[in-house]
Amino acid sequence: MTKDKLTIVDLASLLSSKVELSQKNSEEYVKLFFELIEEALLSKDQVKIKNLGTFKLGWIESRKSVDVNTGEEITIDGYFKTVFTPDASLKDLVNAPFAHLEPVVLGENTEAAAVEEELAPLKTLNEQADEIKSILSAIHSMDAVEESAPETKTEIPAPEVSEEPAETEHEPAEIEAEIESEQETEPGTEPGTEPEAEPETEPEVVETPLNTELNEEKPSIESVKKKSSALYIWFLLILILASAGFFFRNQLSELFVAPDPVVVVEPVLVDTIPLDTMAAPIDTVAPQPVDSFLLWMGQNRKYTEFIGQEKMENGNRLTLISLKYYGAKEFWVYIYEANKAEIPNFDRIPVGKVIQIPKLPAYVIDLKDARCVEFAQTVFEHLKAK
Amino acid sequence: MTYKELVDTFSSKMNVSSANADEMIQLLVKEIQSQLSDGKTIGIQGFGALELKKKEERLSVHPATQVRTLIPPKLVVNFKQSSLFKTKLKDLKAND
Repeated sequence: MTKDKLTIVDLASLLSSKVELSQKNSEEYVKLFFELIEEALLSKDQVKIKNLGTFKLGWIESRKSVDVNTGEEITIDGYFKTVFTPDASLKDLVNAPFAHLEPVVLGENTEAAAVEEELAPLKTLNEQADEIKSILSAIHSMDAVEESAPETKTEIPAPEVSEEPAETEHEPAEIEAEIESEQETEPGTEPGTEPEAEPETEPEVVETPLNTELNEEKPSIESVKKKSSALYIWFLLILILASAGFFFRNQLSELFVAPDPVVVVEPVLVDTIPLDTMAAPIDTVAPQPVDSFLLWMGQNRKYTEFIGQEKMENGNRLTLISLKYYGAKEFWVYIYEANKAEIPNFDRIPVGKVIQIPKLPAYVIDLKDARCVEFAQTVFEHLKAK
Repeated sequence: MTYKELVDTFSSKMNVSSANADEMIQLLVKEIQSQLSDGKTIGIQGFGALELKKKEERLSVHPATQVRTLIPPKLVVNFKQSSLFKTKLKDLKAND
């Protein structure tokens, strides 16, 4: 507080500067003003002044006290006291420095605590999300080891077609979906059983859904105000069962993979008798390439037409020959198939053998069509399995 | 006394119109307001002083709900009567 104390005179002078009044006159005004107030108060009347406040008398009850000198008990009689209640406008004006402050509710059962509670489940869920990620990456690396394929990255792997990664990728997505619902009554629904039926589903990496789902977890959780403890228990339960499912599935998937080769191998098992031509399916070449390729995939492959032949010299390989004739190494499998009689084992091709290079329809060795390469690889798989 | 009565008394005593009186009073009030908001105290001899007081922030508990609230600090206008006026009032009490 400043030490400035204004007197009536000061007020008067301030007033006179603002109004066309002489100092003397304004002094009179100010004096009169306060005298009127005093008079009213002394008449036990209250005075209400617009934009300033209310002056009134308040009654103080008599009370017992002690005489400061003697120590005797004394009664302080009741009396009147001037009470001033400022007007709202004056209050606000005076409190301007502290106007921005608001009362804050504190305590355990209040909003502050509720906010903290909200943050707690959020934190635990973030930790849990990290756990999921680490587990998933561990599982992916496990799959890579089992496949003996080139090491998959710990991140969600690139869309290499092989049944297992495709299936396991579906699982994380499904598990995420389960977790999101947070009401897993049957965590035992091994999501493994469903994707089994579709080994060659789109390998579109479920990475983006995975990420978005993880991100969605956070906002969705904020709205869910469950107790953190119940949440934790549910989540652990899901996690345990899910990881059990994972372990289980790897063995399951191997069992399931077995039937597939059986299905596809049949057409291949039939001896490639040079009967008619392959021309039947091939006739429909350009107009409907899709159908032709599917036919090619399903039928027994026979090779009757040849575009050339090669002598297997030292150091020569089917892959290189395939590259030379077809433009890609993967199609060596067809060369091998065409010359099965001559080549018992594609790993050991007798030097000096003459092998025929079959004529393959364009849609089979179409380098722009991913299915050609994929199918060639599956053919290789079957050849390996035999 | 109401504000109107005050204005009337003022106008009669000062020989000015009511409107004029009202204007005057309001101007005075405005001046008091601005001085107070600047932090100055206004002392009226024989009556009392209008001063600013800072109220510290405090923790209040709602008696029924037990909700604890932190009330922020604030500045308020306080009127402290002078001892002269106090004695004048004490003479009054006889009636009550």
